[in-house]
Amino acid sequence: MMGQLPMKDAYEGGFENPVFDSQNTFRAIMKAMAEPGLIVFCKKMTMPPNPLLPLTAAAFLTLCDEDVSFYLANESINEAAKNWIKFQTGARLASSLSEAGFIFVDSGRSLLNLEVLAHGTDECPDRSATLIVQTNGFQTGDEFILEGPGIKTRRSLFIEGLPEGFLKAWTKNVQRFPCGVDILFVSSDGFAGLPRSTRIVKKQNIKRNANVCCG
Amino acid sequence: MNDEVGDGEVLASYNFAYLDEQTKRMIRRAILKAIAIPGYQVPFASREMPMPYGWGTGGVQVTAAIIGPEDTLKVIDQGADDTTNAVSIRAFFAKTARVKTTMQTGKATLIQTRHRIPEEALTNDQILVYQVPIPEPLRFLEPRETETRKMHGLEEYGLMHVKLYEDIAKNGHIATTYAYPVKVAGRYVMDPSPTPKFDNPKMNQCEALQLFGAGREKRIYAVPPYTNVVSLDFEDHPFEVTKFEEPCALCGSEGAYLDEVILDDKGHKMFVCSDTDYCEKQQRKKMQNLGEEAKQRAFS
Repeated sequence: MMGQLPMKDAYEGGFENPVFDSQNTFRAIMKAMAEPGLIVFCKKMTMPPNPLLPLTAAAFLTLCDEDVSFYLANESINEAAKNWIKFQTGARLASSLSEAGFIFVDSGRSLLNLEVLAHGTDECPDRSATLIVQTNGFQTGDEFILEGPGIKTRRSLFIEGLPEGFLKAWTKNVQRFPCGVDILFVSSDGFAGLPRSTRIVKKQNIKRNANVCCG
Repeated sequence: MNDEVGDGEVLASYNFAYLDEQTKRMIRRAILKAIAIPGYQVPFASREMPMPYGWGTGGVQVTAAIIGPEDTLKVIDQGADDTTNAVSIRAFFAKTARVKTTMQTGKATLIQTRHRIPEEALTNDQILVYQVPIPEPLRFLEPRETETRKMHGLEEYGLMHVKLYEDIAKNGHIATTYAYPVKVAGRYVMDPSPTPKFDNPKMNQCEALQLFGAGREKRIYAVPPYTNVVSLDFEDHPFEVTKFEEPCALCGSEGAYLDEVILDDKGHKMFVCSDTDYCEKQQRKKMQNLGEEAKQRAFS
C-alpha cells in the first residue's frame, strides 16, 4: 500500500497504469455520484504531495486534462500540490474560483460560498463546477439524511469536518436545480458523491456506523 | 499506449477499448454531469468510430469510456444477442478490450442495448448503456436546437402534451408505441431511445444505472438507479403498456415483449419473445417441468 510523502517532486507519484487505474477510479466515482451518500471504496494508486490524499489525486488524474481548469480553494495550499496537479494532468490553473471546472477543497473548511462558483445556466446547466472535497472520513461527524435520484428511500451520510453553514449553502444549491455545483467527497479510502439533485432533508449529530459499499 | 494482453499478443495501434485516454476523460466528465442532472442531454465531443452513424456509435463510446478488464459485457439488438449489430459490437469489445462477454442478462456487469430493456430485472451492480439515434424528444416538434434548449430550460413541455393530445384526437388513444416520452425525476422530459413503450415501466426505479449515448447527435444523458421515470399521459387517457393476445410461440411466456415473425408468403406468422436470453431460459424451464411431470407420472 502506497502512503503519502510530505514534499514530493511533481514528476512522481502518478498512476502506475494510467489506463486501468483511471478506469478503476472512474467507476468508483461514477458509482458514488449515481448513488449519492454511498461510500465507495477505492484502492490507493497514487502518491501525491501533501495535503492531497491519494484518492483526491486519483480523481484529478481521472477527470482533468488540458481541456479543463482547476482551482485550489484553500489559501494554505502549497505550491507542491499545485505543481503536481498541473504537471500530472496538464489542466490549467483557473485565475478565479468562478472560472474553475474542478475545485479542490481541503477538509471542507472554506466550502460555504457555493454561489460564486460556476453553476451553469438554465439552458446549459452542465457548464458548472465540480468540488473535490477532502474529509477526515465518513465514520463520524455530522449525519446528513439524503433524498433524491440514486437513493431508494433515504440514505444517511456521515461527514467529518464540514463547516456549520454547509446545510444552508447546500439547500440553496439544490434550489437552483438544474443549475448548481456537484460535490465529490474524498476520504483516505473512499468516495461519496453529493450531486446537485440530492436534497439534505435532515442534519443530526448522532454517531453511528455509516453505509459502506465495496465498489 | 499499448494494450498488452495475456497471451503475449499486443494490439499495437489501439488503446484499451479503442478510444484514447483524453477522449475517455471527456466522455467520463460528460457522464458525471449527466448523472448529476438526470434526463438532461449533455453535449460531448463525439468521435468517429469504426462503424457508421446509426449503428450505435454513441453507445459504443459510452461503453468504451467505462468498461474495464473486470467487466462482463452483454450486447443486445432489439433484445437479441445474435443479430448483426449485437454480434459486431460484442466482437469489437472482445477484441479491443479483451473483456469477457456473455449472452446471459444475469451474468453481465455491463449491457449495451439497442432499443430494448432485458425482461429479467436488472440489479444494482449492472449498468445499462443505450444506443440513441435522436436524443431530443422535442426535435420533431421543434427543429431548432436553440429553441428546444430554451424549452428544457423553462420546463416548457406543453408542446409534447399537445402532440399526445393530437394522437388521441386522431386515433382515440395515444398512438405512440416506441420512443414514448418520459419525465425523469420530475424535471426533464427525456426520450427513452426507440425502446417499445412496453419497456418504459422498467426504467422507473430501476436498480441499475442507465446511460444513454447518441453519437451522431453528440449527446449523453443518464438516469441514476432508483429514479422516478414517468411516462407522460392524461388523467382520462392513462399510460398503458402494449398487451399481447397470445403467449410466446416458443417458450409460452405471457407478459414478455413479442416480435412478429413472418413464416411464409401465405400470411402465416408467429409471435416470439424479442429477448432471446429470456426466451431460452423460459424454454429450458418448460423442458425441465415437462421432465419432472413425466418422472412423476412414471413413478405414480
